[in-house]
Amino acid sequence: MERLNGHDELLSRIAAVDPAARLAPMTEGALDRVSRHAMSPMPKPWTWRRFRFASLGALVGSGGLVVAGILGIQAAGQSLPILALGQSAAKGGPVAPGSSSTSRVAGPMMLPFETFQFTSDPSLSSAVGSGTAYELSSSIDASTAASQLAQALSVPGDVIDQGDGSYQVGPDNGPDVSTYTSNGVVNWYYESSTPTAISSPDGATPTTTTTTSADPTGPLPTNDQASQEAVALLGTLGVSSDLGTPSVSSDATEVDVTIPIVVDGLSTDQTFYVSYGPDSVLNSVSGEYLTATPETTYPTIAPTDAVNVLIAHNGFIFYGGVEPMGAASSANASSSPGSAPTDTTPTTDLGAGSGSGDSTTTTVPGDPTTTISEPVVNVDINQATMQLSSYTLTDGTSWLLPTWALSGPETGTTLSPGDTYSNNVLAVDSQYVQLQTGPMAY
Amino acid sequence: MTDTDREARFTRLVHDHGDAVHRYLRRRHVVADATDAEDLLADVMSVAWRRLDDIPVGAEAPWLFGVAKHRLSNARHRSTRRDRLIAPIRPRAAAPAAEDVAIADLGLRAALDRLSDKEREALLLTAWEGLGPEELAVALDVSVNAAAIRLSKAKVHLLAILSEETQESLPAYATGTR
Repeated sequence: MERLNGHDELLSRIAAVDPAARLAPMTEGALDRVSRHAMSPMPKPWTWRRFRFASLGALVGSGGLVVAGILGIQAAGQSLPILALGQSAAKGGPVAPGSSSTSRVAGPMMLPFETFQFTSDPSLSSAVGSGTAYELSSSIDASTAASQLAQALSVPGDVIDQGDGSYQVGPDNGPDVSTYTSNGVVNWYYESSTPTAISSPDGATPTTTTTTSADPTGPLPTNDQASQEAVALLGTLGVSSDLGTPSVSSDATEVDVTIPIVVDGLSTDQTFYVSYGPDSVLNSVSGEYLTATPETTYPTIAPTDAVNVLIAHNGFIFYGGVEPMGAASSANASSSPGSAPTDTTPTTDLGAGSGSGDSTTTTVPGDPTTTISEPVVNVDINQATMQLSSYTLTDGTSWLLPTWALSGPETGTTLSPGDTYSNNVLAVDSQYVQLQTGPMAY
Repeated sequence: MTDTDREARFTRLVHDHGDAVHRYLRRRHVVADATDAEDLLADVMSVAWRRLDDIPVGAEAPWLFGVAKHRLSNARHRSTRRDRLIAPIRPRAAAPAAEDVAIADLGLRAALDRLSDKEREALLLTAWEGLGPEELAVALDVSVNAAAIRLSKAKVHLLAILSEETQESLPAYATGTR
């Protein structure tokens, strides 16, 4: 039985469990960046749609010479269309620096604002290059996809229009197939709430699946078995994307396979997931029908320039490192095309706190005599791999854009010794990128 | 107000209240989306910049909490829909909310769970953000009297819940059951 008597005592008890009580205060540098970001101008973007209309007009007026010039990488300069970005197309898309997959998923007691000291490993290239932007679409609509998937996975029932752009076959508690269109791309998933074993599919009979009862205590498939079955299953479901190397994780009850989509030899952040239970029973599968159409080749920054983006933002940046064009200069962001950084050995914290380069300190609100030292994490970026990450432009279209996947070992005040820092920075040269943060829902 | 004055006021606003808004968001956002809390803070401050002239002088913090509440609600709505769509590919044990994890006082946590959203928000704004009745009214967008009544009812309700046996209402992850 509880023995609380007074309201004040009650409030004290709630205050005592404040999950933010041990969070370090935000640094002045971090607050500066929030302020600068909010005040950044948001000029009307030159969207791809507008660019195409403009291109059409130019084509009519000058016999195609202008458009040919605009579309050619040789004539890049300022004539390439600006990529007006909204937000990441997928939750699993580009990760904002400062949120590496290994150590920046913070718990409530974790200090949120480490001071990062990034350095470019000497092995890192300072050469600029080029990369292709791909527009994403689907060659099938969501309703048809639902119907075909349901047939392939032996889910009985009609296609139900959910009214919000999504379609479903089968009951909510499964087995069911659901599809929806997000920024021009059809996403889909299947879930079986009752044991439904899928026979080993073969490519010649894409719709043949069999349903059997499964032993819930039966053995799980091995990682290799699950990978092979997952790849084969996707083939039966009409997936025509090139697939990368599957990665497999498992626990006591299921084996999960993640398979990245590959476009022109580059890994992307778009993936298929397949989950198997005991006796290789298919628990769920999800993915998207994706067509990547190459549109324009852009100049890309060097890996060392990408490291400078990390330095400029000190792990507190927005939308994968992209800033509104008007604010780019104030953030000490990197590079223009063709100009390798003059100093590829970044020195100190350029963005946060005192900027001393050593452990920065912050005073405790209400107690200016007490200071808290911020954790300092040293990261030597020694790996840079070109990948493709999904972005949504402000005209609602989805794109895969060249991205540098950066990684390197963490030392210093790391949260978990031995961690590897990893993060993605948009590789398209910043003069061709424009960020619009609106419209606001509020 | 000149552009320079406007920028100066806004910069001061961010420096005076940015940390408090960030804490508000971190207290209420899911653990797995800690980075999103930072994006949400940026969104809140973007709204504040656009609507700077609407922000009541002297009540900036509760006004910002009100905006943050809406932004958080929108984010949770999107997250809920997203979760429904991708539920099959998510780990079976979803991460509890940040405040749920932090509240080791499981009896209190279970009791707070049983309050209505409005009652709980009134209590937490008072206990965690330290708002008084007038500020609470701004944050909740109700009259001062209504805010005081809501807070009072919330306290009474919580005390009543705490006086009951709470074991049966403990969350599944606290009891080790599913």
